[in-house]
Amino acid sequence: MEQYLVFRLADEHYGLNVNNIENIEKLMPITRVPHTKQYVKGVINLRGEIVPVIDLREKIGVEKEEFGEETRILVVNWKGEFKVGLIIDEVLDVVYLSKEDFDQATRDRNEFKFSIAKYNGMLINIINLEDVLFEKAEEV
Amino acid sequence: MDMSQYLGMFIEEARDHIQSLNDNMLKLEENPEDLQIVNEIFRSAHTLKGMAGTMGFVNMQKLTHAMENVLAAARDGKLKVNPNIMDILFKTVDALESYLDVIIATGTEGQEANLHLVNALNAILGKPAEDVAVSSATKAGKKYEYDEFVVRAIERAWDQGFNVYRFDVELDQNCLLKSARAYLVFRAVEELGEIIHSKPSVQDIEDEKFDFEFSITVISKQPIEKIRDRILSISEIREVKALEIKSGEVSMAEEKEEIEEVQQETQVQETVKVVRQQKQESLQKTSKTVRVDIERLDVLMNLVSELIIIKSRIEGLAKKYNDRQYEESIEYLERITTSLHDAVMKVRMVPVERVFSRFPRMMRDLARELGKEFELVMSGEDTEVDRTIVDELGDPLIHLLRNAADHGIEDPDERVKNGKPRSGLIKLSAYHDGNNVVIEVEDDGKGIDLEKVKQKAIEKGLLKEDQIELTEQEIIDFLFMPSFSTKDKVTNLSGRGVGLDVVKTKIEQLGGMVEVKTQKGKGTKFVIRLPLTLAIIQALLVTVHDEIYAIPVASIREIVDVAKEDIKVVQKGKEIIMLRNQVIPIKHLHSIVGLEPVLDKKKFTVVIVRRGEKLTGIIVDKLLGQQDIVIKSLGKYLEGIRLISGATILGDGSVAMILDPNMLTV
Repeated sequence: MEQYLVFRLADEHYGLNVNNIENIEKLMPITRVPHTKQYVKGVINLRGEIVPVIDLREKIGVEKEEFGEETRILVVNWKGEFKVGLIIDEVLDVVYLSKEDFDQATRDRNEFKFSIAKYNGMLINIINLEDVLFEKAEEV
Repeated sequence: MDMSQYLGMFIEEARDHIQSLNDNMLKLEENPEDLQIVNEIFRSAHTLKGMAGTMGFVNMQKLTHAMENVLAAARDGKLKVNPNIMDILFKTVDALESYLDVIIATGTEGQEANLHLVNALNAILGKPAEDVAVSSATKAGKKYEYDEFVVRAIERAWDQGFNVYRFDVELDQNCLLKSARAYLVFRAVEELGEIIHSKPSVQDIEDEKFDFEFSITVISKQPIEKIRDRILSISEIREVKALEIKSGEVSMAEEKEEIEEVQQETQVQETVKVVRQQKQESLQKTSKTVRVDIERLDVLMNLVSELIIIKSRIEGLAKKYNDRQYEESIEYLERITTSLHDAVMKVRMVPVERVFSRFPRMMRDLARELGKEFELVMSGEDTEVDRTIVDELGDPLIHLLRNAADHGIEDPDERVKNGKPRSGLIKLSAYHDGNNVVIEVEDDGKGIDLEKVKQKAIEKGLLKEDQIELTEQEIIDFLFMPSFSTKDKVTNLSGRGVGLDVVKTKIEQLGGMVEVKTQKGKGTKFVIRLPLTLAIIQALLVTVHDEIYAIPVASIREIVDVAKEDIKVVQKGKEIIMLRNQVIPIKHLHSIVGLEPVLDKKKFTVVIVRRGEKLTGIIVDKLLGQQDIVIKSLGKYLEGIRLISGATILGDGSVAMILDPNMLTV
């Protein structure tokens, strides 16, 4: 059994293992960094620490939309090496998922592969952090 | 006993000793007769042996032991040092260094026994090659470490025909008055001999600061059994382990005292006296210093940075209130933060000697490898730079020195033919220049063949044959392009796939720059200019549209307002201005950072930045003013954006990008 944070991007549910997540922040001013990829929105001042922020919608190819009241930044930590903020539309829940909850099927979206988990009748696209943080979709 | 807690200390000290071995052996190579140097080497080897033994690094200990024997023979005049012996000794030091590397990486010394070296060292003394694994392993456990006084007392005792014993006394677990019991032991033993050392100390024993065990070292003419029985006759003693300490089994706990001892020996000679005084000074200095983990300093530095950020924030708020008392307090705060900042910076400063010290050895090996003759002269080793910079300096300097030796200095015969001294000269110097530190690598070799560089550039397709109008500087710039080498024959040294481009990248990462001055037939000089520190700088804040950028003040030459009609367009749409008869190319910061430039203005604010001799004008929308900023890295995820050298947090909590001036002028 592992804990997953379930959040919304457009009208779909996504999940990320909570072990990856350091904090959930409200939207704050983001400073653009020149010469970076389109989905890199810039950096934020996270209590004295500079943290890059990427728009998860853009990164995995969900159509763009204005940020709203419920928009949050998930600050994830990559193996203690660096932190990155992921902009998502809305945090929904934290759930326990066990192996049985995961479907055999996977789903491709713009070359990102998601595992699918079923929970209380809802389908959750489970994100592999490595895929999201490192170049994959763009390489082609 | 768990020794791991001492590992850090061991590594630091072993590193120092290995360095001093290298240094002194180089000196010895030049003055093979100088017994003073042999003595120094011997002491380092001896201490290293003791340290390795204490830590349980048996192989390392064995090797140093063999080395020490050779050195002892040289010291006692039984052996004359020759180049062959020097080579073996140098190899030994290399082997010790690789032990240290393994220890740093794994915490253990690894499996390598370096038997060939041990045998080679033994062979110098005429000892047969043996499987050394047996001999000194047992000795390791027998080492007794004492401080200088005790060691001397022990040595004196032996000279006078006394025996030296050590008793490990264990009290009964039910013993109630431990210190009283120990006192009885002391008194009983003192009837038969003299106690010269106890562990823990007598004071601690009196204060009952020990468990149930203590050990005493005794000199006596009595047989060991007699004393042992006498101790056992006291009640509530559980066990007594009696050991006789034989000559050769004692070593000093610390090197410091050893130096003093030798200093006293040399006191007679007038000439040596100066050396001795200097040493004592440095000794006193070291005893007043503390080794601090660099991470702790980083934490301190970060806190100071935060303080400076919050200070600017409060300053900003204070302007609203316009209250005298408020202002005064803030001025006071300002003074304190500035002093604190300076103080912390100073703590982080280390002499460049840290890096320089390994070069004499490297250059010696290099001269042999290349079959060339040259001398390395270093100056300004005590020039201090922030630790973060010093750590990064090694690689670029190694490359430049190799470059000087390999590409610069000619073969001895060729030099003679050209009327130069047979032996070349490579100078490595460091000095402070304002807020910069300058490091120069200079050789008196053949200089850079600019024509050849140009040919090579044409060959590589970097330059069209008709483009001949190049300045010297522009040609030299080719040398810093990736994988550009003018050497036809790729040697072991230059063929490592690192070019001057690596040097340039590294130095620029550190916020510095490299310049080359060369004269055909006379030599080449590389000048590296670096900021003293990386963490906090003065910057000019400017805006383009609604974005704020910081430009390091150190690289700004001046700021000018330029009327629109004074901006001229020259070849291929490049914009320039004339400033005091100098042509300066102009760029819009907007375009540089990927925004639309504002063109319909009557007047433009131009920040003139310099990089070496090169000037470039940067058009910005507005100047916000100058302030201390704390440089923060953009982190690993965003690394490699060449235009931006970092980010900073402004007083209002927002983030601004710091422009890398080196990239602005490209």
